[in-house]
Amino acid sequence: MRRLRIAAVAIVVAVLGALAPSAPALAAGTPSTRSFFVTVPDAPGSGTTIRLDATLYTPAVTPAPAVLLAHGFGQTKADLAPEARRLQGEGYVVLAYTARGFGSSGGLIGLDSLDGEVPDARAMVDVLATDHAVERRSGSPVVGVVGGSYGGALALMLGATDPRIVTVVAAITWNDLADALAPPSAGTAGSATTRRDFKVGWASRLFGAGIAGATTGCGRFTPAFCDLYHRLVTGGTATPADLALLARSSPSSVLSRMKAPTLLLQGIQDRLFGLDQADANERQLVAAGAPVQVGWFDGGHDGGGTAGTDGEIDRWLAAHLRTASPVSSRFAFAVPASATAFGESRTAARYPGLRGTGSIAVRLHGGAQTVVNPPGGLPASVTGIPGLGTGTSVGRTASSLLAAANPPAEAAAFASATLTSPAVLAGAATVRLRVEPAAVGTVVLYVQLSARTGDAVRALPGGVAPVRVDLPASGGEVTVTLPATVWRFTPGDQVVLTVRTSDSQFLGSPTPASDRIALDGPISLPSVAVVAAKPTAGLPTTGVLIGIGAALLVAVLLLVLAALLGRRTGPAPEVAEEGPPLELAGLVKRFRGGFLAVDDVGFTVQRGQVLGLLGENGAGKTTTLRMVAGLLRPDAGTLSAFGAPLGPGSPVLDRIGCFIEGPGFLTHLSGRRNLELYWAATGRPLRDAHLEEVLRVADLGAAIHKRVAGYSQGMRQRLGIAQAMLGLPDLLVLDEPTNGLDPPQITALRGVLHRYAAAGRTVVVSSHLLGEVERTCSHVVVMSHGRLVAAGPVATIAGEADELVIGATDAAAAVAAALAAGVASAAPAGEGSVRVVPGGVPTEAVVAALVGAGVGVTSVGRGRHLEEAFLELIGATEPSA
Amino acid sequence: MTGRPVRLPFRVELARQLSQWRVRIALGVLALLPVVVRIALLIGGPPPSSSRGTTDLTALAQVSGATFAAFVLVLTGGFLATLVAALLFGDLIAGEASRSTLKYLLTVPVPRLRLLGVKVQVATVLLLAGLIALTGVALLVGVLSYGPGGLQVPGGPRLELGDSVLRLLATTGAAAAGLLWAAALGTLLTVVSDSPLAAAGGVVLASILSRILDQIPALGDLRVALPTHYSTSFHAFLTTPVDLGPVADGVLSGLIWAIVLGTIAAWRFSRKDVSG
Repeated sequence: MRRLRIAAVAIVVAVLGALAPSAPALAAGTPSTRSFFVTVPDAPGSGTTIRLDATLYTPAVTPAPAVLLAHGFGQTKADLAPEARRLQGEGYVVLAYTARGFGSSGGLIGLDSLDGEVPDARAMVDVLATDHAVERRSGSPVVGVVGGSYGGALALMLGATDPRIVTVVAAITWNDLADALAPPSAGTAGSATTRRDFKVGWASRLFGAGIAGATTGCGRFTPAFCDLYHRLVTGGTATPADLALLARSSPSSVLSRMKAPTLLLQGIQDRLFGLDQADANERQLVAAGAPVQVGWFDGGHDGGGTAGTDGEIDRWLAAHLRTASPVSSRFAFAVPASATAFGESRTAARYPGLRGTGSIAVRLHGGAQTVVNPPGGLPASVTGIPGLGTGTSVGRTASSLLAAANPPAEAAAFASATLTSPAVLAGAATVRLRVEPAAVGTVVLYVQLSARTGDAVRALPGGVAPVRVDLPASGGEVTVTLPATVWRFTPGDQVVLTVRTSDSQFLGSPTPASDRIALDGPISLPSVAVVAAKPTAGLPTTGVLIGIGAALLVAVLLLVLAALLGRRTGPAPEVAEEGPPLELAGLVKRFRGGFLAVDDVGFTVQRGQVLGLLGENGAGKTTTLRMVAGLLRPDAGTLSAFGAPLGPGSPVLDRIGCFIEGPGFLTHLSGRRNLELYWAATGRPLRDAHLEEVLRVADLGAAIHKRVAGYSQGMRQRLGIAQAMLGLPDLLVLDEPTNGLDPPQITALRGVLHRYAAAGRTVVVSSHLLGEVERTCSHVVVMSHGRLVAAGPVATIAGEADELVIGATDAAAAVAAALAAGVASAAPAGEGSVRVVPGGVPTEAVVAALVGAGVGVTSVGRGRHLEEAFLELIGATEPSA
Repeated sequence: MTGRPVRLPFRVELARQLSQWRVRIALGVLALLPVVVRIALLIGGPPPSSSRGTTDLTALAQVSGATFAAFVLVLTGGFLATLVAALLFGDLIAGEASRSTLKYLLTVPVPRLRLLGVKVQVATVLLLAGLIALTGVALLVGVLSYGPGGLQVPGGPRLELGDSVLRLLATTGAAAAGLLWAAALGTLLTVVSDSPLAAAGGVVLASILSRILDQIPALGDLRVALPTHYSTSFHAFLTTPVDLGPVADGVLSGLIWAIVLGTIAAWRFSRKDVSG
């Protein structure tokens, strides 16, 4: 953050929205947000001022501890809004503001200078100190500061220079800006002159962010920093004045004054501000006597920023801002996922620094190799791209694709044997190189550590160690400390050390060179003794597991419920006294669309009857039988069979054989196989099926072994009737059984049904063939338009079998003559015919009587007259028919 | 009457289903697919000798027997398996209705929930058998063609054969869990519709729609509600380390879909008027 001005500070609060001059002393209200500008001096002691854009988030319950939020480079307060709202929800007053030089704030970027951004931050603390919503403890406002990267350094420097700060959280930030952006060469410690290499990749990216939208080459940078950048990026070296300028922007210059408990969170995937920067901060804070805790998480500028640290920050603020708990010495560090294991969070008793609590020596093989640096050699070796996160598989894939194009002549590789036991590197590995330059001069090398698994090579996070040393022609040993990081090697992995002459992220050297590189001893991999470890990925969340458990429980409950529902219709209530085979009462069925198919139909079928159900097409016969079979649910009315209630799936259906509205078979199977499978579906023993007996009824001969697909309609019809008769059910329900049958077959069926009923069973047949019903049935039910119009013995409906129908020229005279002859009854039956029940009078005597009375006899017929009766019944209900 | 007979025993329904050619063909396609894939790779010629760092999946597929099997599973696990599930489950009730055999099963009488339950069990067993056959044949073909090597993890190690077989089984199981929703939707549609093709087509259509919507980032987290959102979660077993997170998410998603759609299906079928 930037902030100029030591603020003795007249703070002008220019409120964009409404001013709220007096807040209640204690209140539980609604969370509120207020934006305003804070005016601060442009420079310490300067009379000119700049305005800083700020937003204050007040929680529901006040007073509350306050958190000052500082943003990252190139961001504004808007980028802090999600975190601010989260902390507001946690019950903190939050002040987020845009640092000078960014967004709507005025001023120039001074890279967290003690002469700019740090005084600005103190001015923000002043704002919080005068806000009634901010809790006060012993007269002082309770204020913590939280920041990441650019904001992290500001947080540290504010905490060290403002005693009002209660606690500091600084994430992925620097200790010494010069060391971070132009790292001193490995292997030069203790030498007279420290050679630096410029981290041009990241530096230019940051500079670019600072000049975004500008029309001048310096954008909103202060002239001093603009000059410095231009000089370094064009190959110049940093002067002592430059280093002094950078020191004004480095926590390293003020941390000795820090007293506040501090949380340092550093990412292991960070080539910009590596773990070494946090380590330097930690050492200075410990020296200053400030309580400090360090955490390494799986993130950083190369791997998702500070994502995933919210929980850690919230816990820290609760313990050290809201309350003042002692700071634990524990050290938590993330172990990133390897090729065969998930990421882990490991905890050590205390922070061990970059050298770990122990180390593993791994011998690398490869002999002496020569690497060249061709002048102007392009492309430079790519070991990573700023902003291309290595925390994602996409980033890793892209990085490995880019690395595949690295010039082989510019690299020497040394690999270990495959590891036989797992090893977790935590800290900075060290290795000694022996370097023999072809010519005296400055040797420029970049050393990187990778893990090789089979064919796949993954670079360890943290980047490369630049080496820039002056060596004599005879060469010399260089001890290289690699960037500190955390990595899990699994058995089967190889440790690979690569030494290159170029790296796209560093300035490098334009001078041609040819260096002979060999290893001097094994590489030392530091490790940390842990007290606890838990996986951070790869396992389902507890919520999902609970969800699966709950879902399975629900599924089981539903299945139990279904079973219980099934049981309700389940066991046939054993009735002491068996009722009639079929009893219907008040049946109503209305189809969707309102068509009333069956309207108040009721009849009873007694044992031994062959009942014919008669009616015109659409009279409701089939619908009624479907309800009997349990295929349809009646809208009203009751059905029972043998005294047991009858409905869908009723067990009593066992005693009912159905053939309804055409046969249905697995047509690719034989007739016999169909019957066998059908019977198997009943779950009853095969011996109960009376299969052979039923097959005789079907009378299919050898065709019974052929596929049903080849059957004629009549054959299918007979097979269907046979299927209904399987098990010789007590009640046989046949819907239009004679469809498709030829006359001999109809006759045969008639015999079958008679015999069937004669054995004490019951048959219900629906048909529109009146003659057939008349000859087959003992009883008849006549339906029309969904209503029952008549029911009773055929004799009642259609007359006795010995009735005579006589065609007469004069019906009235014929009736009179017949009655005179002493017949039981006589009545006109339509035009020119009379119906006579002869009683004891012989037919010839009746005819003689008519003839004797002068009536001409045109015909004499004997038998029932169901057709007429039927038409009469239908006609009675449908006069227009 | 002594004891209640078990209506429509499982083995009877299994025999009825297995007698149908469409079921045999659907399962046969699954079982023979690895052979077809192998032949297709033969036509393309041998893999490039150096597969180092390759990103070409078909070259990777020919690295070892187990890798070939994994390749086949990845090819199949998404759409083909959904299609087979749609065919099997879309046929349950609508298939019987279209043959007019449904009414006779109901008058056996097979209680409706029992009928649906047995049919779901049989279809599930058939689908699982198909998937296991697919995996088994793929492994066999792979081992015969490319040797008994273990699974090559892209960008990772080569696993042991034993470990690979376990992972392939786990992959198959996870892929099956990814079909829960399709099975449940097929069951619902087969109850609602009288046409088995309409029911199966409905599942396929839903699958395509869901996959399209899943490609639209603007939907954000809403996409977790899409039934196919976790359809590739079974890939987790083919990588290292194995991330069980998405697998569990997929199982939960599948279970919820199955319970919701299955319950509606059972409720609808138990009250349905059967005609035709």
